[in-house]
Amino acid sequence: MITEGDAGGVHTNSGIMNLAHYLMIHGGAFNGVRVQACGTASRSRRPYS
Amino acid sequence: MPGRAVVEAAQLAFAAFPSAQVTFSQIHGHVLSIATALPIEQEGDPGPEQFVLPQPLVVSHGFGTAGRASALVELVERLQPVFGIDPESSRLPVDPTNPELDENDNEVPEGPERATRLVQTHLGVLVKGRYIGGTFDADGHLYQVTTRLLPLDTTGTSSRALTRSALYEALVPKLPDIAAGRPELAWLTDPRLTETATAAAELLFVPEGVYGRERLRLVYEVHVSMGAREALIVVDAKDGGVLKALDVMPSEWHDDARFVVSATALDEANVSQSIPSVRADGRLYMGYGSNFQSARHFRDRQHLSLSDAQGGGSLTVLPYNLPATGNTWEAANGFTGTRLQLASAMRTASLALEWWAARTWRSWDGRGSSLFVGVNGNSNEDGTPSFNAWGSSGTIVAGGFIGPSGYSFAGDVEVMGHEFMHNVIGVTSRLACAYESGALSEALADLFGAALTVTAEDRFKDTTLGDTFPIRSFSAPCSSGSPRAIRDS
Repeated sequence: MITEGDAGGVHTNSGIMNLAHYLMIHGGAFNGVRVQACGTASRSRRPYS
Repeated sequence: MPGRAVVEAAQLAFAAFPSAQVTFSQIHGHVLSIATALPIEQEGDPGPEQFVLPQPLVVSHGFGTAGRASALVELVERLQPVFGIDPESSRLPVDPTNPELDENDNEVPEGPERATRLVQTHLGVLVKGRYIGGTFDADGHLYQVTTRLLPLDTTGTSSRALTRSALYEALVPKLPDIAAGRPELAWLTDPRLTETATAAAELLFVPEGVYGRERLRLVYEVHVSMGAREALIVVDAKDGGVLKALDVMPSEWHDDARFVVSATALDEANVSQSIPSVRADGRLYMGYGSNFQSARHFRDRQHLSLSDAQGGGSLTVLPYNLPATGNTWEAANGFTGTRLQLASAMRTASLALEWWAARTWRSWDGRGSSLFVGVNGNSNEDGTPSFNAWGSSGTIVAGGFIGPSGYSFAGDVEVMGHEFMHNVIGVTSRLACAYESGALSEALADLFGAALTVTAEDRFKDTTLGDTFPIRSFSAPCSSGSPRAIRDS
């Protein structure tokens, strides 16, 4: 979703990864894929490990 | 929350000094310094930092040129109605007509020496249990206020704290229990400590304090040291109960055994959080996170330092285009500008920096660089307040306004964590802040911001970014106009 402002929509297109993070933590199904939750204990480390 | 106590203290200071231009040098506890943004190099000790007894207004000392002496008089006059002080009970050691005098009552000539002396000029005031120190510049303008909260007893049912001798009497027999099962504190059983405590107890020191508000607890901070070892034992000043005992990094070597006692008031609910975050191996010594340490080391500065050998960096919070006068001001659309946002920004940015440093052993850039936080008082062309926040290249700028519903950017932990992470991303992944890479950067920053409230504040809330008001939803991005997947774009 390319927008004229907001540097091409950085604050809106972040929603894709935000939902991915949400599914990583809480688990769930989206787009035909079931994701197993990893919980909050490891959430804060995962992106940097 | 420690932050609440800070705000209360700030309100107290604002009430006492309605026209002072103040910013905050330290938060997260009951001791804080408030200073203008004016970066004056301070020489010498500006004033006492010891526990003071509740008593009527007493001016401890000050020096006087006519201008500064007038400022002292004005300060006292302001304090009198705020605290209900009888003007007759206060006394000023300076004559407003006096010339500039040194300690030997000799007139100080014009020149650099006089300028230095003027900077050192200060006024300490004890007001019914509160210590308030004011420092003035050469023109008599108040540029720093230091206050220590020792709450008033409003009920008349005061609780007396232990005398120093009683403190030792209560504490020393407990040293073996404190050391039991803790190899790092086994040295506390050394008989030399008992001997020292016994001798020290004979010195008369009467730190009797009155504290009536249940939410605050007066505690003694007892630094016990011997050789290259030091322990910090926090004792309830009322009953001598040991609240906490830690093996801490020694500040200096002593051949003998020593007890150093100071007192402070703590938020009862946060006693455990008020202990220095010191690792037993001494690798990280976080000045912040400790009411005691931070107050002692950083009370006169506008920054706090994480003296991590690997580069904890420092944090500085400064006003950015805030009005030159006044501590609160009205803005358009129901927004209120307030310098209290400086205190909020210090709290939230500190949480982010502390969270990061404690887990990575690094400053935001891994090089120990400073992080500057500007609280923004700008308004847009249409008069609406600049209600936003951004961060990059060692800076965070957050709006200095509070919205109609009480929300703010500077006071939002998740927002400030988000902006902090942009600084980290800028020197690590170096994702360009546009298009796809910019969206990845934003999402990582969102995740970090949300993680702060889970870990730093110990509560679970991660369905949206925004601690005080929802900005973006993690679980339902569409609700805030964002796509959920590439095909939504």
